[in-house]
Amino acid sequence: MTDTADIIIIGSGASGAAAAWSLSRDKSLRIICFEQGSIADSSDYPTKSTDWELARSGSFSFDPNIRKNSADYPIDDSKSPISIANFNGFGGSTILYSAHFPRFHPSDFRVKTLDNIADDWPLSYSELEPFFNENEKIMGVAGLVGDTAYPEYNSLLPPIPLGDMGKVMAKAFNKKNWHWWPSYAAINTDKRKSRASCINIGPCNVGCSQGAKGSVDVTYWPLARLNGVEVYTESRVYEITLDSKGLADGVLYLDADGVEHKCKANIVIVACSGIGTPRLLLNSKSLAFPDGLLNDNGLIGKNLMIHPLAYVEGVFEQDLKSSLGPHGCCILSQEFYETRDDHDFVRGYTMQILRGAPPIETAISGYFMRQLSIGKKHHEQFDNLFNHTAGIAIIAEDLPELHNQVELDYDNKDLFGLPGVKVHYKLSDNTKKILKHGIKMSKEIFSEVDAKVTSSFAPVKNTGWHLMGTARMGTDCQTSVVNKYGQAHQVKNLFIVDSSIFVTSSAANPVATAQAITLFACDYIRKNIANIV
Amino acid sequence: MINTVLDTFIPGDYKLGMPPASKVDFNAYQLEYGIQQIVIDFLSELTKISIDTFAKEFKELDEEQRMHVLGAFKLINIRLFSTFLKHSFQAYYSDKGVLSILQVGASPPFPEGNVLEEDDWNILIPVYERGSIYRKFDKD
Repeated sequence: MTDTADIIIIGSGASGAAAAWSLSRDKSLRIICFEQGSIADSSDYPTKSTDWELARSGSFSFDPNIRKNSADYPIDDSKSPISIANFNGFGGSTILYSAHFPRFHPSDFRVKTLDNIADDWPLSYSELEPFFNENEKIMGVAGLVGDTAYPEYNSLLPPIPLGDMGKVMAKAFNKKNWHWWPSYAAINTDKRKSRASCINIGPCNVGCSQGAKGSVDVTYWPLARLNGVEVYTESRVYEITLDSKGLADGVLYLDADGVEHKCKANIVIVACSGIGTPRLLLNSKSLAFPDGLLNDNGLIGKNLMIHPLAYVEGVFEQDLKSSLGPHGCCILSQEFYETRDDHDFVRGYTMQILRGAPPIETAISGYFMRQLSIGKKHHEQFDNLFNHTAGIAIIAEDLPELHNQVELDYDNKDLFGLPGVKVHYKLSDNTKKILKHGIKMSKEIFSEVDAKVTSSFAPVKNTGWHLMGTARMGTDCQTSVVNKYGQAHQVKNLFIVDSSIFVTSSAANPVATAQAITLFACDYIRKNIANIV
Repeated sequence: MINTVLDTFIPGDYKLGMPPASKVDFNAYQLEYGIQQIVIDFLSELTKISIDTFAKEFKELDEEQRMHVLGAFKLINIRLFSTFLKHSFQAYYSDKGVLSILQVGASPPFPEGNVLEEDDWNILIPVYERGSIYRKFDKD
């Protein structure tokens, strides 16, 4: 069967959804989005039952190799100290993310000019600013305007409550005279149209059954579908095809039964994540691109950045009810975000204060961290841990390096025999120094409030959510894949709009910036569509 | 014997009002999560170590001896020991009755949620007083 659209979007996650909404405002366009997973029903999310914590190691695991849903493809990350985390389904990884939503800083786009490392981006913070604002309105971002670590924000929803633990940690940062701020979180804290507000239950990252978390299935997609965007779920795009002039002319995909189909289009937009996008491009081989689409310069899959994390946990004597509230979002500090003369590393990190662990995690990690035993003292020790803990996650800015890469894995294939991916990633010396510094500073913070540090380590293995850089943007077609609009240098009607086009990683969670870039790119497409097709 | 093992891991604590692990429905848990073979393997290994060490079955041992056997088990087969222990914790700490006693806040399906008090943002005064810290530069 052959279908025809004006625009095809591949991937329904954070960027695919934003692209669908942005382009759907021109209702003359037929837009089809292909999603290899299915639509999750929020009433099926694990938080409906008391054993929700167990789903994190099963069907709602962020590790595709554990989850093994039919939409997942194998990811061999044995050559990486950090495992890849994602979710393949309608809404993409936003279904399981913690909804951290800070923007990149202005300086993040100018690291070559400012710090003489990596490359500057071909676009700037000020170009993206209107799109940050637009995106935050649609995603529903909670926070507080006036953050001294950023240029001014227009408006935000009321911030997520700090809770007793957050207040204690805030005081610790005040004692050190270090920056801190309430987290930026795509979590609804006010009643908005059809969405309920957050009720502080905690487990955002097994899917928010309340619908308060701004996953794109409840933010962008209802608007885009209302505008007529069609979504083909359980439809696995395995190749982008080119016509005789070298333009993208559509995609080949497999339906849920593995039957092959073709869909033609005038414009193809790729939004499959920093892993899925290079996988698709590398699998799209042709006479023009025998090593994979757009891979004539060998950059597809290279320069993978992943935001290595360190983690430090502190235990307080007092019960701070620390497990209540959205787990990942409490406060952040960007005191050590930028390059400083007194550091032995360039660039820096964000510290995110995480709430205390839920009961099962408290028991298991408490036992293996030797904070809790079995036998007579078990309950007393559990009582001293549960709701008494706080975590500090140190998000390091890793720099683009060619050897950190994604490649196709023909030994491990998905349900329909399409290749999986292999990830090769090594921590640089600079990253190691950042993580070490972050751990030291986190310990200082805990000592300010007499919390006992019970664990500290880096890198944290299961944290490879932030996948960036594998199809980078730039002005030179020899050193980049797309221009600042995500438009492929070599195929002018092919666009990439997810975080794979990032030039550098910053030390902030990437979703807000990825979506702003998507809106920026789609604004360009809408205004220039006659010249593109 | 499974109840004896579970209660050795997590005995009741009447001062804190916590029930022993045998009071939760571990049988239902093991059926739901398909861990029957793990349980069989664990109990078989435990019996062997118990008999080898004390010439008695695990359930016939006193508390000190049981802890000794579990310590030996951990050294001999850490993987099986850890797997079974994790399941014991999971079964216990997902039990509705246990969660209710722990006062974990709202229990699923979370009809009310948890209330966190409103914040007094004067706590940010020291941060404001320091002024802007983001890196400014001439050409954007």
